[in-house]
Amino acid sequence: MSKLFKVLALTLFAALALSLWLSPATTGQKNKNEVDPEAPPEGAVALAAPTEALTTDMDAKTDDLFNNFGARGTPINECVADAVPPTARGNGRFEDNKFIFEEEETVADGLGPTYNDVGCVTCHQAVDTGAFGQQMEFRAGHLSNGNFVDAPGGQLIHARGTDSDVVEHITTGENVRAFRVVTQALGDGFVECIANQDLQANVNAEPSAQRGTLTAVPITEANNTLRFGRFGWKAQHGSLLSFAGDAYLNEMGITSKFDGFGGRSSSAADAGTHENPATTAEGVIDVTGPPFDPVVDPEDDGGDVIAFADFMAATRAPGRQNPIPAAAVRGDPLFNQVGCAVCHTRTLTTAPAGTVINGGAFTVPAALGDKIIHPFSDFALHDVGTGDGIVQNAGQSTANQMRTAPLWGIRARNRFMHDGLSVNVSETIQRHAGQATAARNAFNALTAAQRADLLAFVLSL
Amino acid sequence: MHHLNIIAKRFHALMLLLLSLAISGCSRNEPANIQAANSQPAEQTAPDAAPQSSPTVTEVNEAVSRIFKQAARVDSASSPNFLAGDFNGDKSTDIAVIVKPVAGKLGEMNQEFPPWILRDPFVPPKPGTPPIRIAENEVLLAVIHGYGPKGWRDPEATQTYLLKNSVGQDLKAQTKTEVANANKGNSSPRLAGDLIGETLQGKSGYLYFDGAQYSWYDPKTFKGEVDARVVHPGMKPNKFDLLHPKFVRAEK
Repeated sequence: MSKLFKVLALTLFAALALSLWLSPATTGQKNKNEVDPEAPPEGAVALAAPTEALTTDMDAKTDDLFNNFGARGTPINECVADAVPPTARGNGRFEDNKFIFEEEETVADGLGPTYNDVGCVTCHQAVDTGAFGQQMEFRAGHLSNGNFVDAPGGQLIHARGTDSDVVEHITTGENVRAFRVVTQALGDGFVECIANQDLQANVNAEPSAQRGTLTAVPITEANNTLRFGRFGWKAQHGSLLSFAGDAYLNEMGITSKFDGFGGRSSSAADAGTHENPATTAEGVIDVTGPPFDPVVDPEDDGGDVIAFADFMAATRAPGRQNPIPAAAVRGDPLFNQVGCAVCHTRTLTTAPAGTVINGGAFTVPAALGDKIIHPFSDFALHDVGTGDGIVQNAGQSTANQMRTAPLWGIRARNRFMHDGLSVNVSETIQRHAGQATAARNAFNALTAAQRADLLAFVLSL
Repeated sequence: MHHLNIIAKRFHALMLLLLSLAISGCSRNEPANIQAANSQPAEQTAPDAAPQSSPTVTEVNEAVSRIFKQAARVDSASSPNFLAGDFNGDKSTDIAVIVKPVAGKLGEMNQEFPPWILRDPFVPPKPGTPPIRIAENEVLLAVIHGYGPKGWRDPEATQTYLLKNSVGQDLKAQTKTEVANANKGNSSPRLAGDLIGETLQGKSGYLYFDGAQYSWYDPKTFKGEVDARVVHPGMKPNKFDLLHPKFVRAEK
């Protein structure tokens, strides 16, 4: 019996150790949810007080996107010379990176086999390169014992394929379905440079009934070190390289060392589960090799992804409408009064220049450090009654939570909420429930004139 | 037997030790309100709302006044003129009430920024289209979403969808299961909560909440999700790309 007990104990211990070992988020981590504070280097002398970040006027006719991160370079004329991608963050040129962001990919570049679109700018363009788009991403899965489970082959159901045989279809069993409209990326370099502890302090200051949930997500380029997420409808990414690498893989089907799988998906033992597999009429088939996806992995050496990340990092933040209408001026204080600003945080300040962030993989440059920004978001997840039921990398409890949509630049779009199904701001506010119930009711308690002023304020952002 | 008891005690002690290790490992240094990869699965669906008493006319009138003030009232010509159910699937009881604008208050019902969402389930909203209007004496269906355990009776429960062209005959609240059983073999949309079954313009069907609005589900004609949600329709592979020399080489 004593022997039996020892075997039993050993088995239990092994099971526990194995489960901890298999947990990918624990790689190099002291605690699975722990993120490091991101403080300026010791001995750094505080420079002048933080200053307002440069902004774009959200007018494509104005050449005002560059925020001085890195060199600007000159606009690329491909008849004369090709764009040169950077080899490391910050060592490329803005105009080269912008050109690469605007390029259309082909099968020869690794596009597909399944994908959503052919380039970054095809979705991120309204009103200028890097901004909004009306395109929808489609995700699907089903519930099993109350937990969300991805559709076979992955929750992202691509809209396109390089061959009609591999265009994805879902079965009726995948009945948790969500459409998400494109987010905008202008000013995201400033968002990347907000230190973990500043996001945490902001959320901690929210009343408990409205308090958001920060996600701790892996930074691909830092050996999956955890950092607070801030990009994507589920705040599923914490750095622009992780975000861009994921998008290159999942929106265009192009593998790279930043794609979250080491750019090795076609040759990996589990090929067919990572790189854009197709749920077809014949079930999930491996489409990661020839003839559907003939380019050898990694399909990009990482240069394009760094160019995408640095283009976004070098864009100015969306600026206010200019001049600001009188109604918007009147509506400004009402935004705080009714409680919108609790989650739609008006102002955050980026970490000082020199601060090492992204798990040690990026140092805040002078152009992005100590900058005051007005994203109108806390970058945390909330349940406002519109949750799409999809779980990404923050656990089952976040299925019906969505990241607070940053409102900066919102006047440039006319389809709101994550599903794009609200077509004016008034109805968008009425759709807020759950943690936003009190704010919605306070909005409804305003006079008609006050409501109009508050809506004018939102549409001046 | 004594031996087995000792083993059982030791086993329990080990389990407790492992459990405490696991708990301490999960909670150590963990800031509040953070979700990380591999956080423990949690039930996505909250427990069903506690059974509530049947709505009284007084309570329904109070709820309608909460939303519409004096601009609309319960339509006394309809019977039944209210239905309770969890129509948006958030485990908080909602109420659907047949209402009519009060004479002389049409302006309030058609105000530019109303504290409700006015929709026609048969007309998907599109940016830039003129707002739909409410007509005098028009019979409308107001679905007031519940809030918390008190449901639609809660004073905070004001989220309201006001539906045009949605009041027919034989209105009744039906659960997803009831609707599925009644329509076996027919495909259905993703159903968030209970449905409102009725006969509209001679056709039997259901109003259901799709996460953003109320839509009409006719089991006999339903083909799939609405067109407004189609992603990148009509996309075909670029044949020029497929003929790229590098692609052809790789294929061979």
